[in-house]
Formats: sequence, C-alpha cells, structure tokens
Amino acid sequence: MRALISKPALATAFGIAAAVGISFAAIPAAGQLKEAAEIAAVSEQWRLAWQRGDLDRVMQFWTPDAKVIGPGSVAVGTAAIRASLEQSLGMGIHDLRHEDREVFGGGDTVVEVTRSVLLDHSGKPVFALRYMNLWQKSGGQWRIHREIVVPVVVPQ
Amino acid sequence: MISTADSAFVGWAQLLVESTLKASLLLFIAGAAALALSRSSAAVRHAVWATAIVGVLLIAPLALVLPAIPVRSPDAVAGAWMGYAHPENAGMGGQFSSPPDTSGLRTAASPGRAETPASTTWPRSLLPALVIVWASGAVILACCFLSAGLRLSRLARQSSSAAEPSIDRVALEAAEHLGVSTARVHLRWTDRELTPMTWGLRRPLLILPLACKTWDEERLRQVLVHEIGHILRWDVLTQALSSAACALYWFNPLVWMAARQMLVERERACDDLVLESGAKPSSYAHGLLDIARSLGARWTAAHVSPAMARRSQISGRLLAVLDPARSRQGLGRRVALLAASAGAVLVLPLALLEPVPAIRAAVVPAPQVVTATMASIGEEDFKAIGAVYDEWKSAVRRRDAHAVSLLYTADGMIVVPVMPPIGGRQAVADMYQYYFDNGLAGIEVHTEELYPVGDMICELGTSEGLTSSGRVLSTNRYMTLWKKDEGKWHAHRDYFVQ
Repeated sequence: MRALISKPALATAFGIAAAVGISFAAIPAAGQLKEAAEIAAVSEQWRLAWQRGDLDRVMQFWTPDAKVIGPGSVAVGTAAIRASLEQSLGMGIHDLRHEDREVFGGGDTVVEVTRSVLLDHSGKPVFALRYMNLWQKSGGQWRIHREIVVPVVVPQ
Repeated sequence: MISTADSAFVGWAQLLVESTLKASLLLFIAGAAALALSRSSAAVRHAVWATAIVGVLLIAPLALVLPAIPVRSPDAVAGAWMGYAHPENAGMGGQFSSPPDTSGLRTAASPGRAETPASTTWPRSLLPALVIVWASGAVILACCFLSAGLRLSRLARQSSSAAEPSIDRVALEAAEHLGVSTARVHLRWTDRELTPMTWGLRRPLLILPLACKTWDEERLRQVLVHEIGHILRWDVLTQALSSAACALYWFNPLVWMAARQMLVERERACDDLVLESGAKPSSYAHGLLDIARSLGARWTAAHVSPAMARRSQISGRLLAVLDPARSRQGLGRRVALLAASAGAVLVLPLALLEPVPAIRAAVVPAPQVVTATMASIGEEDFKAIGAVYDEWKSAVRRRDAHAVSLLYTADGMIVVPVMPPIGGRQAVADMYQYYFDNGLAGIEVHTEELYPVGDMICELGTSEGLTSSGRVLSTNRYMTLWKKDEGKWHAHRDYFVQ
C-alpha cells in the first residue's frame, strides 16, 4: 500500500486531476473569452468609425429597433440614436477609452458593462460614462440592441 | 412607457383613494357616535360631526407629512389582481417588486412584442382621467362656494348699518345673555327678502331683512339670540370647513351627508340656545314657521352661511323645538375638549395607516413583462425570481438594508449617476440604508423587457421610489443583469438613471 501512494504517484494523480479540472473549467471561460474578444473588436471598429466622424458606419452597430436609455431621455430607433450621437460629435467628443470591460453571457446575446472616458481632440478627458450594453449577434454581426448610459464622475 | 407625469398621477390617485377610504371610515364612526348620542343635545352631535369634518380635511395632509404604518391587505383584494396571487406583489417592494406575469410569458413565447393584457393596463391609463375629473369637480364646487361667499360679501357691503336703537338694545341684551362680546355683534339691514343670517369670520355681521322691524320684541329677541348663537359657536367657520370637505370629496356621498347633518344640528343647537334663554317653544315654533314661510335662503347662500330658517329642515326643527324631553344643553368646554381628543385619537392613526397593497392593487397596475424576446426564459426561472421579489419587498418594507444587499451577488454592483460604482453587499446595504434614512419606503417596478443572456437574464424596466405615504420620490429606468448563484437568482449588475 505504501508503495502505491508514493509521492511521485500522488503528484502525478494530482497533476492529472488538476489538468482535467482546469480544462473543464476553461471551456466556458474560453467561450466567454471568444465573445468578449469579438465585442472588444466590434467596439474598436465602432471607435475608429467614430474618430472618422463616420456616423453611417457607427449606426451599423445598432439594431434597427435599438433603444438607448440615458438620464432623462430614451432614444428609440436608429434615427433618434443618430441624432443623439450627432449632438455628441458636435460637442467635440473625438475619441473614447474603454476601461473595466466585462462581458457576460454567450451565444448570440451578451451583456457588456464598461466604463468609457470620452476624450476631446487633444486627448483630454471630457467626461466619463458607464454603459451596460445588450449585444445581439445576427448574420454574423454583433449589434447593440439595448443600452443604458450612466454619467459618472469627471476624470481628473 | 411610463412617464414622470404618470407617476404623479399614480401618487395623486393613490392619495385620493386612501384618503377617501379613511374619510369614509371616520364618517361612519362619527355617524355611529351621533346615533349613540341621539339623546344628547344637538350641540354635542354637531361637535361630533364638526370634529369628523375637520378630521376628513386633515387626513390627506397628515398622511403626506407623517410616517406611515403599512397594513397588509386582504388576500382577496390583492389576489384578484391578474393572477399576482401574493398580496405583496401588488404593493410596496424593492426594485423588483413583483414576479413577471407568467401569462405574459406564454403570449411572448414567440419572438416579438407580446400583447399586453388589457385588464392590466386600463387602471393606469385611467389614472390621469380620474385625477382630472376629481380636480375639475373640486375646482367647480370651490368656485361655486367662493362665488356664493362673494355674493354674500357684496350683500353685506350693500346692506345698511343704520342704527335702530330699539333693535340694537335687544341685540346687545341677547349678546350679553349668551356671553358674546358686544363688539362682535354688528347688525346690517337688507331690503331683500332673505332669512336672517350671519356672515363673516373676523367681524361677523348679522344680516337682517327690513321686515324684522315690524316684528314684536319677543320674536326679534328669538331671532337675535339664534343668530348671535352662530357667532358664539363659530358656525361660519365650521360651515366653511364643511364646504371645503364637500368640494374636496364631492364624489363621496358620506361627506355630503355629514355636511347636511352638521347643518341640521347646528340650527337645532341655536334653536336650543333660544329656548334656553326663556323663549316659549310654541311661540318660537310659530316664529320659525312664519319666517320660513315669508322669507327664504338661496341655495348658494345656504351653503356658505348659517341662515335661520330653511324650508327643507323646518318640520324636523319644529318637532325638536316642541319636544319637551329633548336635551338642550350647550357645548361645554369639557365636551368640546373630549370631542377634539376623540377626533385626534381617531384621525392620527387613520392618517398613519397605509393600506398599501389593497389600495395600490386598485389603482396601480402590477408590473408585467411587455416583451420577452426569447422563449428560453423558463417559467421556473420567473417563479424563482418571483420568490426573490417577495424577499426584496419584505426587506424594503422593513427598511432592512442588509436583507436587500443579500439579494445581490457577493460581487454585485449598482451603478447610479454621478457616483462611484457601488460594489459588494456592504456597499449596497450602505446605499439602501441611506435611501431609507431619506424617506424611501417602497419601490414600484414595471418590468418592460427580459432577455436571456447565456445562463443569466437581462431585465429592463422602470421603477418608482416611494415614501411611506406613497408619494413618488423619483422615477428611474433600469437595466439589471440577473445571475443564478447557488441555485438562486441575484442581481449582479444593476444600472439605473432618473
């Protein structure tokens, strides 16, 4: 008996068990990682379109019946959302920096929460927002279907 | 979509319904007391009705300023509300105040917008109309009473104050007999054929028809004692309060009945003063009949000022005047104090009690799922979240911030405008405690959309923070991510904006 549970055997058994456990645990994480990576990539495309001031491209990242909830306002549909984004462009918001991104769910619907710092042309923070976005994937394209925007403290 | 204006209408309608129920209960009690005091004097019964009317007027303002004591509703009332069988579902609650409507789930099984059951939406859609109809009625009646008051003021201004030494002497004697300062007695004469009446609070005027000058001294003394009795008893004030109650609760027949009883008892109380001053019942009854036959009080004047002889009441008054067994005791200080104390003992608890679930079930639609985009949100999950809702509502009602925090995941987070994110249960508890300390006593929630997100659920809707009296503190839109943790749904990410 003593020989059967020698230290090398025990270490090997633990090693195998750990590898199997980690592999199983990594399956959903890897799946989520995939969606998180896709959302990050789409967000980056969105950001580049915004930097160019290309609202036609920006609007392609929204579903036709998307809804954006902000303090004191609800924009429903692409026309209303576009009007709201045009206002933001007019205010000199040139770029944005995403922080603390989390992505939940998987498959064709995910929720992304993130903190975004909005920057002017000189790269100076103008203000910060926290978002919760409900993304839906259709025809291989991720689009924002529901979004809530919460203004937070102005970054220093 | 639920607007802030809707929330205001909900608050008003709720206050109106609550106050009406409480006022009705108070008037029932006053009616029972008046019945029990049928052998007492009219002055005592008038005090009962006047106290009740003051209580009716105070109930709504007190409910707004005093902290409320929630009362559980009868199961039947709340249970009748569209299958939200648990009584708490219709009332106060946390952000997730009620389980989603599972009938809505069935209709929303296919993608797209679910049909909203008509019966769950009509109360809210009717609320603005209800409040507007009430306000219109109140304003119209207030205008009627105000107009009548203005007409009486004009009549008083146009009336003559010419001295009539013989009549002035009788008036002063009557005032002295009743213990009313002679400085408060001012006679005015009108050429209109109106019954004698008293008008004015700060400087009461006795408006008498010129026909008085032809009356003999005995009848004149009776009339003057009766009218000065109104001054002694502050009847113009109690009449104004009763008119205000009628204007505010114009739709409640009990208030009108109370106002009428008050008017009847008031006149009988003044008749008793006349008889107690030594007038012969038969002579006074004859005089009353004569005045009622020859003179009249217009409706408008009758509802704002104490007038001596209304034809509609005359038979009852004559019987009371001629009844030798009737008590004619005036209202002593002790009885007045007792009536006021009894009124306070009844009105204060009534104003504090908040029959939230029953009333809100009647006026506020229960939260419902308007859209469920996927069929994969199972009924079991709805029920499980419903159990969480129940815990939430109970915790908010108890103002138990710690219990609310346990409904979030251990690493749950709340994001509200202009504040750092509130992460972790202790911070959530601190935030809710702050809200409770600042008057939050309940939250109405209206779930609008639910989406399955992997093994989580994303919910969108509106919520209203309420004070203990049901006033709306704030209206919010929220987006919440629910996570199943150890077999139970918890709020994991909770964002809201006003």
